Amino acid sequence: MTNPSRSIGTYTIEEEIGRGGMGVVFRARDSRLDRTVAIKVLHQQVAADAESLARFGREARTLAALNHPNVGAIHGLEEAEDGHFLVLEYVDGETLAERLRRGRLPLADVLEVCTQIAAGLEAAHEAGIVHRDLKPANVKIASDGQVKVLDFGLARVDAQNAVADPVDATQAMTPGDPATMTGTLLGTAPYMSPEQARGESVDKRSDIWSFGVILYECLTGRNPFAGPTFSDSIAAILATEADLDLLPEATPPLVRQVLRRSLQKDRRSRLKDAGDLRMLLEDCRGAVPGTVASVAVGDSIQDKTFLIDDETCRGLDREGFDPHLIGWKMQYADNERESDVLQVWIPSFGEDHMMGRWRDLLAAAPYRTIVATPVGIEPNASYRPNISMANQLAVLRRLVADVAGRARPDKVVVGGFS
Amino acid sequence: MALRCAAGDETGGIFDGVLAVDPNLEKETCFLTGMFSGVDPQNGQDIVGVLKKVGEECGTVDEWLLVHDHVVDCVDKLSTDLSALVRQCQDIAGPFFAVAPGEPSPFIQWFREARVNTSRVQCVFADDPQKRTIIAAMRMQHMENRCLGDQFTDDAFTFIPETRHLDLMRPAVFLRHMTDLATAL
Repeated sequence: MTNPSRSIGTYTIEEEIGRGGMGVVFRARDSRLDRTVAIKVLHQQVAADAESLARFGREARTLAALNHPNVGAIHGLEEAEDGHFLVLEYVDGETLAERLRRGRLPLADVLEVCTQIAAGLEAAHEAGIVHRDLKPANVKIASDGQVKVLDFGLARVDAQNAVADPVDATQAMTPGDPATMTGTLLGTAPYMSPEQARGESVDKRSDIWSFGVILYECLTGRNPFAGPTFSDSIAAILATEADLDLLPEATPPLVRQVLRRSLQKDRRSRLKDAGDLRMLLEDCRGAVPGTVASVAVGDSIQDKTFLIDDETCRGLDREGFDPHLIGWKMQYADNERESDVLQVWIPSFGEDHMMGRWRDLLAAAPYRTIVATPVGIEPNASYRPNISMANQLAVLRRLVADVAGRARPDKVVVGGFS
Repeated sequence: MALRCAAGDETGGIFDGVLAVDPNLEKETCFLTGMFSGVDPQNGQDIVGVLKKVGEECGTVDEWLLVHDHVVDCVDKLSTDLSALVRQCQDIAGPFFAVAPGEPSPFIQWFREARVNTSRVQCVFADDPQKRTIIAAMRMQHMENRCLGDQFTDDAFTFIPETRHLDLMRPAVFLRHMTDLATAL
């Protein structure tokens, strides 16, 4: 039933807007509610299999209950004389795949679009829904900039009933259920996770991988695992790493970190939570000019020193005092962000302000932030003073008072781990 | 260390808030620092012996990688002289190991003093049964003797469901809770 008449049920078909393994999609008019919708008319293979149809119905109901601005809504699964069809939210705009055909996106747009994709994923994952076929063609960018992730959870049914689609040679063709069968490939090759490529069962971490591929493609304009054939892509996913050297120079460290952690071949090493993705990207948006929460300074992390002078030393305990402290320069990093909050982070034992996760935090923080290295733990030192914790903290408080005296924040907060 | 930093502020005027992410509560929670605090920094065999034990408490590959990344970074940087690292670990873990049976954890004193010196102290804990037990006991004790201070409120202690200690080590987690704290001030 992929060639319906000009109407189906109470919907008036206006034009075909897409087709895939599961069926054909039309723009249609809902005469009852006087609104435009998308109608996905299911292939006969889907509609004829009672078990598939039942499962499809369950997933559709779960999705229908998921009301999130970044997830394409499902209005219902209906039945007409000539078959079953899905009634979907109609999103006017282009897909991310169409947008990417014109080249990579500016950084601010990458962060905007990908933050919204992550927000949609987060909502779906919290509802227990895994996308399984996240790709640019399933991301719609509305004319007002709203991003919608489409076809959540439908890939399983889609693949089980897939038919050859000459339009999209990358579409998975092997039938099967990933939850119950091994050796089955689901998804679209260049966006598949390694576990998908191996035909193993998938969970939300598979979507995290696909998200990483999309983020990479948005930044560079190319898919890191694209190959001339399906097999080439699978081989690339399993055997090669995404080349992060191709990222634009302006790519913030935290975005690089998101990519590294999203594209870990071992899913146990991957970011586990789309909420973390969303929040990290939101923080990056705050640091990139042109985005909603732009600030002037961006990634300008400054490495600085604080002179431990005579006056500071006079306030220290004699116990645990090393004479080398007089005139010593405490090292710290400062993101110099304009903010009414100054946050101070104390690294964990052995850590210093140059270490990656502190640089990531400094880059992403929405507030003026300093990370100070305890005396004796500096990244490079020919001598390491022996100084008590009490004196370490006393020196740190002097540093904070000094920075706060110049920055004049409304609030000063201190944080530490363990 | 954030608690101790604010607790030791004799002026009481530097910090407005404190965020302690999975702070140590008792000596049993000072796993790595406790191990390193007992190392003889001049004894290579001693150091190697501790390094071999580093992964023992890890429950997942992710944790193993995180812990080893951290330790490798530290030891690589300080390998010519681990004295400063050992001193730091002794000072972190020492107060917990110095507590006699039946005596209160030093955490209680640091929390109370930090709270006096600031408007808000927020402690965020991993979902660890051992820590839940310790905190429950602390709250009981507080009901009896107000040991956590008159300003203590229940929302000062938050457990993050389904997390382990190292899950909270990520910058995103730090920033999320710091933002919440700054907003609440």
